[in-house]
Amino acid sequence: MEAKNLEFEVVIGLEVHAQLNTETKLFCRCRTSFGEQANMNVCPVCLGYPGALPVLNEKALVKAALLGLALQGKVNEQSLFERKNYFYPDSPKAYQISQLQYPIVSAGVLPIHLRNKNGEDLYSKEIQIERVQLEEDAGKLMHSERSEVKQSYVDLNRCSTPLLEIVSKPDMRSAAEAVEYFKSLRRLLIYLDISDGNMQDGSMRCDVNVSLRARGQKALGTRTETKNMNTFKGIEEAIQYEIVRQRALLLSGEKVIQETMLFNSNTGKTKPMRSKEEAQDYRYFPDPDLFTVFFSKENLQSLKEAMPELPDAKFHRYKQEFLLSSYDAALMSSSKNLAGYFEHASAEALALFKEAKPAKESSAAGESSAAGESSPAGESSPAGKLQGPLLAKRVCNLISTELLSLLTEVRLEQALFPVPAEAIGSMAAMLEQGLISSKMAKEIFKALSETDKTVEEIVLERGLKLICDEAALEAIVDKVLADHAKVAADFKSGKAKAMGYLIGQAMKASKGQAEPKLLSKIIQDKLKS
Amino acid sequence: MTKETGLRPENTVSELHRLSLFAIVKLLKKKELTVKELLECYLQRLEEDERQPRESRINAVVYKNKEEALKQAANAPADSLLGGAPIIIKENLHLLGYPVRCASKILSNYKATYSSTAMLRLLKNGASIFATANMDEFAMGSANENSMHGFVCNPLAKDYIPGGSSGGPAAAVAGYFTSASIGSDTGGSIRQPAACCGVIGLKPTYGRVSRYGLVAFASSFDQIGPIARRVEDIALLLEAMAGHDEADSTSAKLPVPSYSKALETPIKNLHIALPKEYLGDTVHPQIRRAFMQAVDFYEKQGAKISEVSLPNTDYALSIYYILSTAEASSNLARFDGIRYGNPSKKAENLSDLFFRSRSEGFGDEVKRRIFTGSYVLSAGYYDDYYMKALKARRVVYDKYMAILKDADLLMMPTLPYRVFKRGKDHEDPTEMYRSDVFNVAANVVGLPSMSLPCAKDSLGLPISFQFMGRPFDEALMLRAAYLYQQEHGLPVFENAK
Repeated sequence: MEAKNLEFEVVIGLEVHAQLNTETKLFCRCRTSFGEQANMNVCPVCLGYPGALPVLNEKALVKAALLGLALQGKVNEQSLFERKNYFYPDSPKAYQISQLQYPIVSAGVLPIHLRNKNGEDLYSKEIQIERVQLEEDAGKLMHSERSEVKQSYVDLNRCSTPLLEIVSKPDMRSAAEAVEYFKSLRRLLIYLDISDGNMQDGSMRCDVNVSLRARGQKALGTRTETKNMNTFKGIEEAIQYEIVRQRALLLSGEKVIQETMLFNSNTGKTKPMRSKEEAQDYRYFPDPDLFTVFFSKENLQSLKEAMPELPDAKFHRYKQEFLLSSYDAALMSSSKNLAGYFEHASAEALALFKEAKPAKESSAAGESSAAGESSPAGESSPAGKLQGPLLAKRVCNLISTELLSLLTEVRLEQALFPVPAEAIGSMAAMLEQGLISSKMAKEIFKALSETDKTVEEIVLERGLKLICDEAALEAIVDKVLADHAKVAADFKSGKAKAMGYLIGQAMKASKGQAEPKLLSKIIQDKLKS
Repeated sequence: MTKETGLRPENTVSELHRLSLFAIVKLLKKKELTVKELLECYLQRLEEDERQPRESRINAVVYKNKEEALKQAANAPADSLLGGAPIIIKENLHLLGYPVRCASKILSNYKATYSSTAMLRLLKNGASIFATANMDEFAMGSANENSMHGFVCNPLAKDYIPGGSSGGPAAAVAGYFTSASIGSDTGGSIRQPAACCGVIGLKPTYGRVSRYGLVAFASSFDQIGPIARRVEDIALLLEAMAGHDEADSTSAKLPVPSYSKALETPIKNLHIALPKEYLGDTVHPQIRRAFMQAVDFYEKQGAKISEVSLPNTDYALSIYYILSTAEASSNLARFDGIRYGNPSKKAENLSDLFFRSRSEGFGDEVKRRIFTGSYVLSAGYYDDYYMKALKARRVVYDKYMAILKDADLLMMPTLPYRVFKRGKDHEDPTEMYRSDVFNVAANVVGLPSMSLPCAKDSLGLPISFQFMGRPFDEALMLRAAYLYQQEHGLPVFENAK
């Protein structure tokens, strides 16, 4: 099988559906909120009552255009809503208002970055976007779990909430690329405040088109479409399964049938949906209730100007401005909320550090880098320029070692951080100034997350402060050397290990508060003199 | 030739039903008349009609609500345009609590859960709505014979059709069951029945009156409009309903003139164009003669008359039947009997439920149009029919607009044929469709159009002519029609006792 693997190229395209986070529905003023009692957020329009007419929610259109801009796509000045006609109880008008010939966005591109498990860059590529269209969602059907109950229920709360359908070109060549594409798109949607990206509630889902073709062959193979995937794992498994299934078919000389599949997450297998007897003819035509939609160049320009910094730009800036590694930069830019937190904390750290600078100059450098020690910090000096990156790195470390373990994805999405960004910034500055140790930082962080106290209060209360005063440390060292004269003598006679013991004793004597570098420097100086 | 004066007829309660809307409003405001006595007069006449044997029962009205109408009249704002005057609406307009059956079995138990914008505006302007009128099922038909409520008789001659699809509203006005009514016009459905019944009907410019709450037949053609016996009544009702509505994206953001106040403004340099395609061999000689007399009237009033050509007029009918059925097939897809209306009781599963409810619920004419519409939209035929018709619609529009650059109004007979007898002429449905040929163009191009009676044929049945005007210039049409009414007079039909 492995060898034969090489004979085929995998071709994958995704159709992603993302629910927009507008307050009201696409064609009426009903609220879009979730989890309410069935059929409460409805009106004659979204119930499809006779005589009711749709009126476009302009905010949804703006969000769609914003995505188009972020995808460097073509936002069309004119777009058109069409009716997709079909009978189903979740669609009360018996048609869905969607876009076909003239979508709001045609063409675009989304760069994706494949990394290994350690976050090291493997490769990047661009996925072409064919179109982004705006359409209304259907309602929900609920079937009784008891088979003897021959009734189903329809909840139309979701009916006519705005959806974006984002159709990629068949540009992906592996399950990993497809998952990365989906993740990147999701991140972008959340960054732009277009969608909450919530996959469990189905506000983001995708249909996966998979086909195989002989390596080197230009024409696409016959594809299958696996519907309604809403987990990363599911997408990955469904694609893997389809690859294996289609390859087996092709190798045994059979043909892949173009059909719609459903993925069963329990078995990890895809299965054809019961095929309808005839192919559906949706009889699309322009919705006569809605005129052509105009999105002016002026509107587009003002959107462009208001465009927030996008994840890819942030990633590159973090690497350049803060000298973060790819891994750190990717992690910090992975969510809009986290990026905001990181940037806020870093700015706070730098501000505090600069404020405290005069005090710092008089004290020894401690754990901090050599650069910070001797030269005055300032934007103008080359060493000062490094202060930002150093502090940012400390913030980044605090976030990845302390914060992230306490943060669930849901809390991150809602920006419910257990510790305020200012506190992380303040801790980073103190670490950089050599005022606290990493161990102390851990303790402060824990206390912060459990109480409402500030960093300063915790530090004061618990005496969590390094002793940087040379005279004070010398006094401790003198006492330790006197108490352990024999060990000191051992060192002098060549027993290098003895040094470690002495440092340990001195640290103990300082109750763990001695600034470690300064402490060992003093011991070394005294022993060597 | 009558001239209604706005004076209460002397003491004769039996003559109240002959009052025009304009006269009623005046009398109500002067407190010389009450809504209650007027309503009782109308309702008494309706009850009388209900007692008639089927063949001579006009059957224009299918639902009455005196109590609600009295409440509405009592709530009419002081100094409102209509002062509480009672009117009748077609059964495809939503007014909260009123049945909206569209003369279809599939909606036989459906009541409005909201009100249409146009009806709310009527109420706000002081109308009271005391009844709903019969119609062709889902407004599809030209004879008012496709109705779950049964056919409507022409009050002028009971074995003749009242026209359709607003046969009920037109017959109610012609039969003196109301002074005025509200209909809808998708391909002549106001003007054609008005012409058949010898009353006046106006289809506003597309976008002039909000469609919100009108059960859609063909969304890009439908307009709500008034039917009455007097031009000033038409002006009052249009004024009360027109204007932009945020709930209807296709309604125009344009100010609404006071049509009723503008009526007497003299028209200077009126230029009327006569499209020769509307005066061809298909036009009955009696109709041609009457029409030319009406033209002469305008010429004598100083209008410039010119003959023009609209060579693609024939296409308007094909365009209309392709596009309107396409839209209808989609608009009517929602009627599945599940959320409202009548679900089939025999259904065994979901698709069977759709299938049976629709098969049992829709009449033949509606089915025929759904089939046609589905066909022209289906894969493989879309480009040849729907797309081509859409493009042709634009071409026809440009042609009409080019002519209306010079001419202020187009004038043509409303019907090429004399009024049909009931039960005839529609063994072949396309024959009936062809009779719409003079009416559909206004809907295809979205222009305002108004029909008014000008003569009687040898049987005493009405002959009417119609205007088409520039977009949103209903005022000029109304003024021209008012001139005819005042200076020439409208024919009087000896139907009501």
